[in-house]
Amino acid sequence: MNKMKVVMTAKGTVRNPNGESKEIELKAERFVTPTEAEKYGNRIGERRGNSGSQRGV
Amino acid sequence: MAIVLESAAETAAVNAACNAIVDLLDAGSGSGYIELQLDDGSTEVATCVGQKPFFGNATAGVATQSGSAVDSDATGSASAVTKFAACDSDDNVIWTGSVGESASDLNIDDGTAGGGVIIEAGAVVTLSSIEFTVALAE
Repeated sequence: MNKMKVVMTAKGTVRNPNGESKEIELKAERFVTPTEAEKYGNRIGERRGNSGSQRGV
Repeated sequence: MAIVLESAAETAAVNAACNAIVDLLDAGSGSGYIELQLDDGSTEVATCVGQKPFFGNATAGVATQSGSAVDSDATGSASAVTKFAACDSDDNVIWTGSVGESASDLNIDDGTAGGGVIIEAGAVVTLSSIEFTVALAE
């Protein structure tokens, strides 16, 4: 059975007023169930007609 | 019934799924944002507003952030930031996750390394490298 794994990672910096600079990481990870995949599939269909042309940066 | 993808459709499927998910950040009239929060998951410490669209088109299931998401004047807190929420401009939470110090930070930081991510009031918070990945599993 195929499931989808969704992962978001982000890196960045925090520069505090006291001069301290710090690197941070953000992470989110989860498996998408077949039911959720079907829901996203429906959203794909909904959004193709109204926002697909806005991307492509 | 389980969804089973044929191999030829995998790349198209993960790209479509990835684009559909990251597009949710653009659903509001304005730009989506990533909110850094305390451990209670509701107290805002910094709000990094992204570009619109927030992500570019996915390639091989990976969408990369368009530009940077920045908060140039953070609310701040004396407590460490441990969570984040990615939201559209109408404040709908799209996904959530955890925040930590990067491995490199533990090497270069002094004084506060290992003590959690403290963001002071007025801090500048920049998220300059964000990726969203959808991959088949199992």
